[in-house]
Amino acid sequence: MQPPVMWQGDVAGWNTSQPIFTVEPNQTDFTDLVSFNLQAVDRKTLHEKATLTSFSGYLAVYNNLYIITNAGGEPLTLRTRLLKAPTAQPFTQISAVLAKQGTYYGTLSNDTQIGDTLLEIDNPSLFVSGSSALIGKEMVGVLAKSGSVLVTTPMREPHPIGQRVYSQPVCITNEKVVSWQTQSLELKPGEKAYLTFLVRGEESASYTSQTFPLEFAFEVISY
Amino acid sequence: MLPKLPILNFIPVALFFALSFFTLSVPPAAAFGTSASGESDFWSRWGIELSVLPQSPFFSIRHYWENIRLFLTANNTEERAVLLLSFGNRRLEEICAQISPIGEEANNREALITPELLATLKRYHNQMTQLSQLLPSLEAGGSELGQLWKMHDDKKAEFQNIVETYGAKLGFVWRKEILETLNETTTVSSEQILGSRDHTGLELYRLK
Repeated sequence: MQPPVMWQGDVAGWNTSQPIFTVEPNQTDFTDLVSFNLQAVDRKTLHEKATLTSFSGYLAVYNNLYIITNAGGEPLTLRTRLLKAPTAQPFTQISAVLAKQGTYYGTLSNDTQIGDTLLEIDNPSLFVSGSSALIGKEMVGVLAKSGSVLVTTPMREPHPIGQRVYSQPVCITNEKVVSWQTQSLELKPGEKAYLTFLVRGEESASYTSQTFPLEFAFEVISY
Repeated sequence: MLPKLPILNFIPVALFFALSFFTLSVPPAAAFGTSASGESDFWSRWGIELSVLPQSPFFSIRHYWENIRLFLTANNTEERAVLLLSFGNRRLEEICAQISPIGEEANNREALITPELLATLKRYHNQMTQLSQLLPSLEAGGSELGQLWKMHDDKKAEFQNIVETYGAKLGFVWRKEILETLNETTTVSSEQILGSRDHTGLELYRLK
């Protein structure tokens, strides 16, 4: 499947045929596990009705499921936003992480306990104050950042050293939407971003894997 | 001046070493589950299935050989972690190969407690503890480690299944011993291993 053709709104005197961004589904790695249905809404928005597979009792990581490229000549800022809260689904948590090329998460340098508000991580550049972060199965607010330490809202669960921390993903936990949108990323012309999905499959004796629909959008919020 | 020895005198010695090396380098056949180790796959492709079980005289030599390999990788964290995990996978296969026949046939619980099985459990525990100590210092890019971990996760699940199946026959002491070993080694979490992968395509990790 080719990336969808963007809306080419003809305005007198303007050449708008060049799309400002493209979204390429990763069909090479996930042919049998994910179905894609990208629809262009306008030059700045693409809607996706995808079907993903959840594996019972497993965490499935769909690395770089979508590759987003700034195809225009100007820098742009984009994000991914959930369009519809899911109903009963075969997962306990699903999260979508938007990041540039390279490592898309930080890891804890120390164990943290319930009530802790300081997270020492190895990749602090991914995080910004005023956003949120996913650690284990809980979302915490990132209040400030100082060097490699994030100041957060208090932890509700303990987390071991080495635990991954993601910067503001879309996050649904037990059918409840905890975070509707990913962090925003600024891309220079030609630069790429990657959207990775993590699906925690519900433990079930009746099936090993099950598909489920998910509707979300890729949006350019400034151009 | 050294005496001249006929070359034929060396043949039995060379044969002994060649045979020993061959036996030591072949892992035991996968005793359960669908995910045999990579090495097992290699040999089974040729229809060869060899096991070195604790009862075998080669067993202690094999452990000695494992220790030498670990010693040689003392300064290479990545390689050492891969070795430890592949040895851990072997240990699980060895333990299961011992438990299954015991569970099916044994009538006397006293007979189940063998020093070999205890030693294997202990060795597995030691190797996984060493691995958990190495993990924080691992760099990204070790996809081999991730693959091995996936196998390990599957083997462990099968192992637990075997323990459940033969639970009554194994008796309280054994069940406790085995489950404690398994629980203690869960300090190595899937996500820690996940952090050392190169992140392409689908990754699947069993949730605890």
